[in-house]
Amino acid sequence: MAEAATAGGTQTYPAESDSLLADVRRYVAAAAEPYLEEPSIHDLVLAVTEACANAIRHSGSDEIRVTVTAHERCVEITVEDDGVYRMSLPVVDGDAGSHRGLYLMAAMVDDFSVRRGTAARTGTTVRLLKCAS
Amino acid sequence: MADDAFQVELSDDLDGARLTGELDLLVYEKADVALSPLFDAPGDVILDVSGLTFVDSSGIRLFVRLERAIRDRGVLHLRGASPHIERVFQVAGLPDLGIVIADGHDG
Repeated sequence: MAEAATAGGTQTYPAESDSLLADVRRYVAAAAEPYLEEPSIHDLVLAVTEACANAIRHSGSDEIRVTVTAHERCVEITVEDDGVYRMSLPVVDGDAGSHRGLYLMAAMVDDFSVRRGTAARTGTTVRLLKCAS
Repeated sequence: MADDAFQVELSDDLDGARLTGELDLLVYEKADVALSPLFDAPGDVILDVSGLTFVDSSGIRLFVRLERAIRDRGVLHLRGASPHIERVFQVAGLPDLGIVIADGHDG
């Protein structure tokens, strides 16, 4: 991508940390603050939380890397792990497996993509894009 | 940040609670344990969420479970949500489940 100014660089978090999600929120909110306003910052912070929570629950990765990059009026976040992306169909009238997190993540950003880690090619990357309204 | 640590304060009558701080996956079990007495409430349950500064899909899941537990006896009310939090409740479809969302002016 051309002319991408690094807003905050990459932060690495141990997946076992009890404060991982709160730490990521502080980092992303601070890095996005020069480029976005509320409620966009909150939206992005929620989407990143969901992406990280999914990595914690399902990937089995030891660490999670969060990168913040600014592109003029937009902020792009990538959440990377070293694991395998596990996808399950929602259980009818289910509870934990109802994909609410994925839906919320998608609803909060302008664009997103998921590059799923597989057994042969581990490492999932979730990319989130939020632009100033 | 200590100021944002998730806390639950149950009402004396065990028909509601005040939630403060950030509710996410990593405090889900703590929240579940703290709110467990409310799952047996005899009627409506009122949660004061005016002190909640963040909620993710884990929090939504907890409210959905609580609503399911009390559905035959009463209604779950979420009161005093900030604009951000209320929007998350709306996007997640909580009103469609019969959960009553009231803003700070009604709480």
